[in-house]
Amino acid sequence: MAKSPLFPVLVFLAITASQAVSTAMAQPPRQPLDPLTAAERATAEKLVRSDQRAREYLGDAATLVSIEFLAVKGLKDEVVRHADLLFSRPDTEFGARAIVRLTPTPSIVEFTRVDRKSVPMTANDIQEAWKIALADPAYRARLKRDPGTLKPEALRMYTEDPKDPCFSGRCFYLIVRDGDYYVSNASVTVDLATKRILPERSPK
Amino acid sequence: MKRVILGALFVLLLSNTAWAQCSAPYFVEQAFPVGGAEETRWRICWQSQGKHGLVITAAFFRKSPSSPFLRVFWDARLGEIFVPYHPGSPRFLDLSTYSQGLVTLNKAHCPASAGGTLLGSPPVVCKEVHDRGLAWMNDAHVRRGQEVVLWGTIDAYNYNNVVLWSFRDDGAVEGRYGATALNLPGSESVTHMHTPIWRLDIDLDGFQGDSVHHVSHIESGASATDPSTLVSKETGLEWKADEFTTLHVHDSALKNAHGQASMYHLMPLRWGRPRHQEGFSKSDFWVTLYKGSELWAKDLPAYISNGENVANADVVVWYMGAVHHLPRAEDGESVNGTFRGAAHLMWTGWLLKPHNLFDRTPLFERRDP
Repeated sequence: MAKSPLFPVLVFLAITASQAVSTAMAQPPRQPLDPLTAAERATAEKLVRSDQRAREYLGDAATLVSIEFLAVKGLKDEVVRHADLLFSRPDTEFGARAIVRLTPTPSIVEFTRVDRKSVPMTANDIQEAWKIALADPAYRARLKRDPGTLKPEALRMYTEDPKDPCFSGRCFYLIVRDGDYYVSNASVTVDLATKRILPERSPK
Repeated sequence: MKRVILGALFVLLLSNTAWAQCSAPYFVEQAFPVGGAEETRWRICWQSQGKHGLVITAAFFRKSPSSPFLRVFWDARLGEIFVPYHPGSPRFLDLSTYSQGLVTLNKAHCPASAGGTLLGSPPVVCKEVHDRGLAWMNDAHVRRGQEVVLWGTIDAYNYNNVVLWSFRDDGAVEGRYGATALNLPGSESVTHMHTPIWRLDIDLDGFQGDSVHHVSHIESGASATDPSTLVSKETGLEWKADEFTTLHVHDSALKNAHGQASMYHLMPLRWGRPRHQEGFSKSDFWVTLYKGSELWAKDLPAYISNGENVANADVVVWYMGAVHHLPRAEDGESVNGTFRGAAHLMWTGWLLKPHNLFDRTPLFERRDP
């Protein structure tokens, strides 16, 4: 059988296709717009925490609030994978946002200070505030029920009065959900900075 | 023969850029009509993000099986949901401050009987493929339309914020926001607004060379005109009800077979025009030069402060809608001191409508005389 002049091309395509199939079987397909992988998240966080300028700003106590995928435009329609990280410092009134380019070599492309109102609370903040509330005998007595089925939700409270404990932005106004309704007389304000319950106040 | 194969590979590569950008379950492909000979097709990528919720990370439309895919969105998302209460306080930034991500859905949210398929693990997005009502009719001749809808719900304190994207068989996209769940505990009867602001990175035929026109409708005596003004610098723009304000987004090179400039019209679907004291709520539309990290509507006044050129550039448009929520008995009632009920969904949104994208009426069987 005479070989076609396209034979080498076809062999190359067949080998490439078989490699692609075996690669796909070995690991999940990775596409430019897929969510961040655990490895990418770890790389981005580690890079920021080890960066000298970021370390000077954030210190060792910074909490990673969020990390999101960001598709930045490269040449033509190319997707350049980035991670968008937000850190908070519980001991201060501000946080920081870092944009990390993930390929080809991970690097920090933006690092900016974020004011306290723009640093969102985290699920951990809410759980910590809930634990502090439940540890208070007076609050438990007011709750009058097993907290096991309850779910706390929170508003973050700010004041402009430097003398107010909530000036630090670490006060959380909790309301308590039981299924499809909120438990009456169960709201409570917790100051995470001092880890105590504050006298009842309105979120307004 | 060689040229044919190489040509086929080239076409394959070109078409791959329209789909090989995300994998299941983040990739949604839908041809229309469902179950019939294909006329149009959408390819969409989505992601669930902690703050922005359901984000469209790419969307491509093909107007016929023989046409190339056209990128419509590089990225489309909510940039904020601002919720100010009438007494002046509280004033919530639901996305940047309170979003706890997308709510997990189940089959009751997304029944197969309604064309629903749950996406994600855990499932946080519902895909629905269904009839969208009349597309057109002409006496006895009629065509009903179809759409693929992706929706998810951002959990923010007491509210569920429903974010919905409808990709229609005629190439149009509808973005909707709806608020539901329990009114604010302790303030159940206080009137307030839900003010969503979308960030729409519309890239037609590649991301460079796009421009935006601000188009009005002006009546003068018995006649009327529709003046169109190129938006040359980054700015905020007002929507005026009596001027039918729209933004037209077009690409410098994209034309249909008749040589007409193809574009998309951003058309508000709204009941009113919110104006709060915050700077980002002073305009209904904003046009900014693309910057990958500029994602938050609350920073819009800062984004436009240097007035960069946005003509024949890579532009991003932002649009603010509003739900004016007057609490009512139907939202719920107090039973022994506990508020029971749920505010039914109220919607606001926009329509992104193709204009001169097709060469003729889509979804229309032409019978030449």
